[in-house]
Amino acid sequence: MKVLPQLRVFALLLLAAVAGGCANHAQISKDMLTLAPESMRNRQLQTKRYDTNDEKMVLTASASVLQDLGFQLDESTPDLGIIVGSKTRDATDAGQVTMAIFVAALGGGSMPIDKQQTIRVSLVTAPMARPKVKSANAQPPKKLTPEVINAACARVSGKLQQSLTDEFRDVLPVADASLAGKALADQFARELNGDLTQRMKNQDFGATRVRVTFQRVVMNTQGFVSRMEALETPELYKEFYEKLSKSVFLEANDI
Amino acid sequence: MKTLLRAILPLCFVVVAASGCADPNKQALATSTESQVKLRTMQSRVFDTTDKMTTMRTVISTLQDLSFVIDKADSNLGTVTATKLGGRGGLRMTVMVQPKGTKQMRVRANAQLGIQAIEDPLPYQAFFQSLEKGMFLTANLDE
Repeated sequence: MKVLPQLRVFALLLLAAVAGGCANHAQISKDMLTLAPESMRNRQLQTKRYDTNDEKMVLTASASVLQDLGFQLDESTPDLGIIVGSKTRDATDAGQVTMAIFVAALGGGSMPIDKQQTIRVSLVTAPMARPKVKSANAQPPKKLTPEVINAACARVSGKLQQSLTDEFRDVLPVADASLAGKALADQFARELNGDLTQRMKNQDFGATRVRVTFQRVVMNTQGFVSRMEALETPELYKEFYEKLSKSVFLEANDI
Repeated sequence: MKTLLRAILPLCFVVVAASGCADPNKQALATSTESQVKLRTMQSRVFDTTDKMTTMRTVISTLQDLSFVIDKADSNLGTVTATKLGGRGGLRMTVMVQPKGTKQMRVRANAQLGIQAIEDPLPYQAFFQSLEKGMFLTANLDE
């Protein structure tokens, strides 16, 4: 009978712990799903804008950079602009090793130390639209691509050659007339092609933004996860985007 | 002897109850402690847009703003899965974007913290508040 009150206290404590755990669970999840004040700063840190509407190109350039950095690509969803990659590397820390040896020397047995880490990266691109065209019947700007330009030039050149040859036929022998017509039409097509290509390069199609996040999971010598953290050093992101800018340039210019 | 028995008996109950929790069949099909309808209601919001891709992209950028790392996404099915480190073993979340009728999109989120499903309405409210902010920005700033 003497045990009973103690048991009762124990049961109450257990109940409190369970209930407290539940409330805490909801509270922690709520906090984790609320925008933190520093979220804007992180967004700026992790985001870079590129002046091109070619999202696929930026995504390809990003994948190349991740490969340069030794990441394996785990997932990719190009229509949503997502690439997920990871790499596993050594995480041995000299300080920890020294400490472990010290503990072992004092007879403390083997102390687990960090052994390897998996670094995960997730990269998302998104188009940044230009200001909306206000009037309802305004036409969106016609999109120029090398194919469109080539086709247009071929059409114009064909028509031009035909009419020039017809004109020259009155003043020149037939063979010369068609040769002269072809030469002039070709020259015109080349100039037109150059002009349109220049225009295509200067045309403002909008911009693409890239947002990248790195995280790492560290395992110790006993095979347990010893650390899970997001990597938020500004230098890391700065360096990554320096590499990506180079890659985007190379990709854009087909180098 | 009697007191010892009294002390052990509750312990036995705890052991039995605890082993009941780990039944794999029950775990796989356990819906939740809440009713299915109630759960769906608190995990879903409807938005007045027809653009699935933009909605999905907004979900992704909202998750990123909340420091989630995107694990995978599927535009056909409309799902995005993401993880946030920290807390108790991390918060894992799957968001699904589906058309509702012809003029709206339904966004459903479900999350687990560590090894426990989140079945409290408050965390979902917090998430949808963040998402609503993102949807507003997308619609009005055309970001």
